[in-house]
Amino acid sequence: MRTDEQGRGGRVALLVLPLVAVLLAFYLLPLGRAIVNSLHAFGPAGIDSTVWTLENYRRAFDPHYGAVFLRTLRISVIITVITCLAAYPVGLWIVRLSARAQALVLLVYMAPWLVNVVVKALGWSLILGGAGIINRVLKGLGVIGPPLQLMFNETGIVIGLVHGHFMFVLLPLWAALSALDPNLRWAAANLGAGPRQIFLRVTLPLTLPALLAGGLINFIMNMGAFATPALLGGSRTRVISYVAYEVNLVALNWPLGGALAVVLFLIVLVPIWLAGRLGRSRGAG
Amino acid sequence: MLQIEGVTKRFGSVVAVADVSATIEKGEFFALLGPSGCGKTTLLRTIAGIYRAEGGTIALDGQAIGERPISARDIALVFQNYALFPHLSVFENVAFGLRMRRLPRREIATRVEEVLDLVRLRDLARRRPGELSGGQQQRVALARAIVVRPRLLLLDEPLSNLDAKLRDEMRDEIRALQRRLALTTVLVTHDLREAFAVSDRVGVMRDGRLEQVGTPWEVYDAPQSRFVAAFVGHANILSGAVTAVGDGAVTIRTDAGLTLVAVRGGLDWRPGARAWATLRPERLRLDPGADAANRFETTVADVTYLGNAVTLRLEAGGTTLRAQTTYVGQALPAAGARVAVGCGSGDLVARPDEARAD
Ligand SMILES: Nc1ncnc2c1ncn2[C@@H]1O[C@H](COP(=O)(O)OP(=O)(O)O)[C@@H](O)[C@H]1O
Ligand SMILES: [Mg+2]
Repeated sequence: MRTDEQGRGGRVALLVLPLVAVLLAFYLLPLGRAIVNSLHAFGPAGIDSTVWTLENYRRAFDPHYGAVFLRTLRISVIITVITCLAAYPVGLWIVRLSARAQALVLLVYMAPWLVNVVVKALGWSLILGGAGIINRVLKGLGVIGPPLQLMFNETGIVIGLVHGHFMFVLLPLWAALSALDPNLRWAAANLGAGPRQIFLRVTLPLTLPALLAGGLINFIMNMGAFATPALLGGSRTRVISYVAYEVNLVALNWPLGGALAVVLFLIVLVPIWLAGRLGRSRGAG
Repeated sequence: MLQIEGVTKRFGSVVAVADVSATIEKGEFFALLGPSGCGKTTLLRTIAGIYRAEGGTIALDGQAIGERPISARDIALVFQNYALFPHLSVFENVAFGLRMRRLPRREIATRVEEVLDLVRLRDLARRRPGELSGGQQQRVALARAIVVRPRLLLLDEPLSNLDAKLRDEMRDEIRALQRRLALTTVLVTHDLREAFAVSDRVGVMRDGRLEQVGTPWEVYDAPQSRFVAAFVGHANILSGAVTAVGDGAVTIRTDAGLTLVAVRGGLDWRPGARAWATLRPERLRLDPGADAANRFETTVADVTYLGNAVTLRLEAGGTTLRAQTTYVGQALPAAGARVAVGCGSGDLVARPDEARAD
């Protein structure tokens, strides 16, 4: 029996091995490598592995790169807030539909994830560009004179990513809203609560954990987004993932690139850690 | 006082409540009794305003409330699954309705504590519903409803999720509380004993219709349809035809050949017409006098001894009869023995077959 157990454990290990290998090869090893690199000096001759230094981290926080981090953080938070605010009405609307309609509508909201980022960005430029649909309509109506700048700035990134990452908030929120016992809303109404009070005192608190979970994923996706900001943000509005790419693969400054990656990684860990703490204190309290 | 007049509610093609009318007096405890799926919950929710009635009127203390939103009806509903707010403490659950009514903080605290005392939950005020037993949750739901001093209290099978012992206890508590607060109350249940034990009057529902309304003894002693008779627990329901209609009595011959004599009771009896009758087991006596209006010679098929009572299964020429008698040490017939059973004409419940409306 004992050998049987061991045999089974061995088989499981064998099955998991490829996954572990992939994670090691493509995720943990490069991350470790980047951390090591970020602590070395960089000279005209390239990376100097004999020198250990924190210089790269000092540069990561200098005004130039610091500003890029702040911009990325700001854009990501704005996108997450807009997405969370917009996802509630959409989610409340969806759960009132028939089961079939719900599946269909959810598919529509998931569609952006199924379309190539470059194709999406191209689509957006047809809508948001100087000669795009929005500007032509507004101009035709006489609302605006010179075209609005909706692309190649932060506005463009926000629009593109609110669209692109919407479902990361919508899906968990929809799941929580569907799981909500309708009797709870009726009970609240029966005790005198109007629609507003029902939302604020029952629906919102009971679906907030799902919203926070979705918002967290959304925020992380925003911080790490690469192609959409690159295509819709233009050359003046760079986010950290793009800058890190340039430092690594254009300037070939792997130590600084590693430091930028590690700092981004740590920034993203903070909300994850906070959410974990919040979850635990809720569970305990 | 609650007045319902011709209320109907459909779900698609299903008519869940069909043209129900009833008047429930102020301070009355009214039980809505019926099998599962007969429309009890739907009727209750239509009164509360969760569903909108498709026809008819609902009036509370003389004011029509059918068009009012659920939040403005001043009716408190206790849900079958309690529907307590899982994210709020017991105190906050009970305070919810008072906060919605924007009462001063101090008054809310006093009233919530008062009601928590009443349902003996004061010590658990800080707990969340998930940390309570079924009976405690039930009491929170009740407290949350009565603390707002509603004009009408609606209870949807409040005891069906509790175990038998707790059920009897809570049943008596609810009744005592209702009396003390003089609350006009409608209780929905499929449990006959529960309905009879607590209510002033009972309404028996069937397929969305209110089939009979009356005091528990009226409904039990004079069921107006075969369905009600069966639902309130009559056994030995027999079918037959009227053979003779006398001055005070009517004679029915059952399809299996028994002759029954029942009182006329002002009903429209016609010789030859179909009729039904019930011989309630507790009214059947062993060895009745020779002068008993109904008397049957039977063979004992089976005797079940229950301590304080005995039930007998008797064969009477192709008809199986159940009889029940209290056991006080008397000699009991054995299986296979021949015994005579019988009862007076007044012990029988008999009616002409009702023409089914559908
Ligand atoms: N929300 C609903 N949607 C569709 N049909 C319903 C709904 N609620 C109840 N029904 C139907 O209406 C009838 C009465 O149900 P209900 O009032 O729950 O009965 P009861 O409470 O007496 O068990 C049943 O046939 C049930 O299937
Ligand atoms: Mg029900």
